[in-house]
Amino acid sequence: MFAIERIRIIKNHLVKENKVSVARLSELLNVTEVTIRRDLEKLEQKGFLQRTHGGAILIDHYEEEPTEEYFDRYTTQRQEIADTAFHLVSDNDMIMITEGLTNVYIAKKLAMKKNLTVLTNDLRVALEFSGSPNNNVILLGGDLHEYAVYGQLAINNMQFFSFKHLFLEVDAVNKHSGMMVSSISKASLIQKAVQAAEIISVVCLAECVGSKSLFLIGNIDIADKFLTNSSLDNTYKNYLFDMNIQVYTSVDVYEQ
Amino acid sequence: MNMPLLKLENIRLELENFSLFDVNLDLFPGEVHVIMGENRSGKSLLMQVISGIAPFDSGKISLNGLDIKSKAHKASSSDDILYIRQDADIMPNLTIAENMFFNNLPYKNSLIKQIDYDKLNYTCRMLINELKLPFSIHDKVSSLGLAQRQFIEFCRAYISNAKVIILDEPFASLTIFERQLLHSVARKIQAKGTGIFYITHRLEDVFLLGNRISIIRRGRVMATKAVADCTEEEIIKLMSGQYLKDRYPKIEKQIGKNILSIKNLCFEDKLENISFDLHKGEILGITGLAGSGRSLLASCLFGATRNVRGTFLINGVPVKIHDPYTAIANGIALIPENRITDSIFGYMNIHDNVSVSALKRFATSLMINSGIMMDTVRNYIDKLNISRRHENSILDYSGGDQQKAVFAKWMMSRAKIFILDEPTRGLDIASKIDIYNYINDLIKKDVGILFISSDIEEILGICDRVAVLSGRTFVCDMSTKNISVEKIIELSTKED
Repeated sequence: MFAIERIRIIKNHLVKENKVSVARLSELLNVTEVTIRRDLEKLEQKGFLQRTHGGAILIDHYEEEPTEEYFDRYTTQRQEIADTAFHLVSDNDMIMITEGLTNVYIAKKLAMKKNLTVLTNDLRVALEFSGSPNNNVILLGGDLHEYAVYGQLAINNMQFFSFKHLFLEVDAVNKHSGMMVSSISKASLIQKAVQAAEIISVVCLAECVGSKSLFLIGNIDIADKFLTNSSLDNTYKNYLFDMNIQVYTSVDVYEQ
Repeated sequence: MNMPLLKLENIRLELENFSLFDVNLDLFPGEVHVIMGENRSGKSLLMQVISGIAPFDSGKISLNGLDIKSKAHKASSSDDILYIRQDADIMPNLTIAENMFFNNLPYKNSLIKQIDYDKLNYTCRMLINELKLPFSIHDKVSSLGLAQRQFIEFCRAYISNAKVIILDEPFASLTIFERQLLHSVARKIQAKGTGIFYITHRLEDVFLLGNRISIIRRGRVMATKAVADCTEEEIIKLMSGQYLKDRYPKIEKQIGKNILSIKNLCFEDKLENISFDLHKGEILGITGLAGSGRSLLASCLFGATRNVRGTFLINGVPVKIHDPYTAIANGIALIPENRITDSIFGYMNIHDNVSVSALKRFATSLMINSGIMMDTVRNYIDKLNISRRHENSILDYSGGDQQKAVFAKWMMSRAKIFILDEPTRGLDIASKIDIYNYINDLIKKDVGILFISSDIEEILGICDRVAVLSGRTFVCDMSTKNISVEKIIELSTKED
């Protein structure tokens, strides 16, 4: 269970009961007391509760303050997808990770592997690996747009590489049109990458499946695996299975 | 040969998740026509169509040259086709004689339907002697085993006036002796000039009894041949066809320590010397024909069957599993094949069905903390993509949602060993995919899984290893990377 959910459950519990005990919560939520204390500390900082000896009590008139910075609603989902990706890559593999926010989460997870060779055009992906000397990272050169490089230079660079596994994050997938991204330069780099890969894993949030974007990469059937989260629409599960594509809905619910 | 007794022309039937395509078949008098095919290839559906249980969309079935939909045929007889299914439908409160002669009881007075019991018992005794059946007329039907019940069904076929008899996997669960006896009855039926459609999984039966063989795959008749011109290899090849095992979402997982070790498990005369090891994060597939004891093995491992012999080690420690309660206490979960009768509580709603195995977790000394429990249940229902409708009974949900709730139940109880008996049978594809992904979540977290399935494609797509159950024991146990579908079919259809 992720911290966000745990905190949600603690909050609900506290609102109902007005007080909680650390020992009880750790038993119920199946995490250590240290973790619960940390959660309570976070909630105390927000002014939601006041910690007491062995537990906490609710503070009345708590109002949640609106968060200022950009808030990603899909953090949990991206983490779950990353966890699946972790189990699709073996040590010593050569892989490529394209630009995308979910792919950054995947990179964070994969940094725990050993002796990977990772090719990427996303600076954030490269940064995630910078702290893990066990893996080799190759950053493509080219024109920088926000966090990633594109353009003719990047495409030319691609000709030097061939790799086992491509993690390809797309902005939209649609039965009728195929896989789409938001810029022409992104689409053309991905088309080049697809040719150099042995296994192609398409990464896409379930919320973006069925929607549309402007620039077409190709048909969905180039994918071997489709990585998404558990709210994927049933018609797409059918559709992808019929296309002979492995569908990973990244369930994470079992509490170890 | 002369005119066919029964002829099927271009039969088509489209169902929600299965179809029969342009089936052409015929059957001659006195012929045994074997129908073979994998599980779920459409054999039973086709037989239901022939016997009139299921309707068909288009095509023509004619019996003795008459369309069976025509009035002329309906007037002549409705009992021309007799369909004998595997699950012998016997009336337990009637005697053996009454059961056998149910459709042609002798009457003393046919007006008031007064049964002539002397005559009935006499003819029945004569029949038992003639066929050398292993029971006496005085035995109670409720005390008969499955094999003996099938004998009764066979006798019904023998004494009936049906022109066509359909035997649907009649020998699945019988011993060699019982099978020989049934073979001899089948030959007698054949000698009367009756045509027999004979569904089987067993190659040796084909060569013993069959005149012709038709192989069915995914609702199509692949070939019809004379048995004398066929080899075993040819039949296996026609049955297996092309497989798409690469579309199952499998993850790579380093398997861990041994979690369950079974040595020399025996049960009555049905299971013999079964030994295997299961590791953390590993999926062991178990397959075999219907009646090979797959489900029986599952209930032996779960303590649901008494008098099981053998050694059980969990995490290297010997344990005794007497009953399901000790199994659950040792972290074993069973998801049985028959969902409606064995794994859900129809009178409860979906939330209670999910929480029922995990109540202990939410119990304070005397009470259940229902607030936190409901919160957790809702979290599971959300994450496992179960319908969020609110119905009073779990029975009002789709089969997929019910099965997902059963998974949620055991996941919430944090079992460490999952025994899955046909977990995806009869489900829609979307629910199947969800379940495969639940399984991935479990093995990621070091759960060990026994995956029992009759779908070989699924076994090869999902499992790390596969064991084939045949002739009461495991005839192979190897990595799914090193075995082909053909080999599995061969291993499970041949005995010894």
